[in-house]
Amino acid sequence: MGSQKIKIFTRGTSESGQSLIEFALSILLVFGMLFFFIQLAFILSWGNYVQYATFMSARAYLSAGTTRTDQEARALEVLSRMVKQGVISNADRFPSIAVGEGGDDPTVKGASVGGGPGFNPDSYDLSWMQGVRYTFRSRLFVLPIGKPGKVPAASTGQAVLTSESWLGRDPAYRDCLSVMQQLKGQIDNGC
Amino acid sequence: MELKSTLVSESGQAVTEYVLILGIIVLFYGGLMTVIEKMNLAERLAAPIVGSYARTYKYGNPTAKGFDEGTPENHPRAVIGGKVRLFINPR
Repeated sequence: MGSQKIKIFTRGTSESGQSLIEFALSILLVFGMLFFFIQLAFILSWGNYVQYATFMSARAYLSAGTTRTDQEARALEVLSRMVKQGVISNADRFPSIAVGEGGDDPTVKGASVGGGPGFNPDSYDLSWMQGVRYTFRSRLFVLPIGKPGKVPAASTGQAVLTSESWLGRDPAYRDCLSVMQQLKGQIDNGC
Repeated sequence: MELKSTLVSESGQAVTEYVLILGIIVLFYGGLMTVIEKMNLAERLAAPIVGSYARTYKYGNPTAKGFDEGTPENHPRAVIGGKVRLFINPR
């Protein structure tokens, strides 16, 4: 027969489980801060990449093509291949890091190709604003902040960044033809 | 002599503790979110990123404004009432 042990529970003075509860509460803050900085690093890296992507897309838009629509399509294709899943779909490449927000183009969400917000082809000061811009939204905090269904904003831990690249646009072949036809052969270096 | 009592049985204790701790964490999280929302803590923490950093990212200047924000100010290229400039140059 083994020895018999009698346990006496005194609930009032027991500190059993205190460290567990303290750990559980503090881990929210510790991991919240840790993942905030990890997420921030991802966002900054992605932002750097998006600057390059809009520049490459603006180069495709700048290069002359058959028509202006052709130039826009090429710019969108470059952007889609770089920041979206490209040939597979127009879904975001890394939706956990950033998703396209707004934009004029319905197929590549977040992208706008063509004239910018102040673009005016008749004004010398504002005719340069042609190119590509891409807007994306990122979650800053891993823990959900704010009430569900709220509009994404800084108060709900969301950052919205816009990358712009205004390289302009070379005249398309059709543009060239229409100008040359008006000159009626007086000056015609070909298109 | 062997004592057997249902009072000292520890069966199900882990589950009960798990549920209790989960309740405490959920309550704490709910309270934390309320405090964060009331103090606009998320807005304050995110302010440098959605404010000066966002403008630097977009225009290359933390104090710049573009056409999206109304009238351009300190914009690297848009100069209202003057000529366009191609580079960020001191004025």
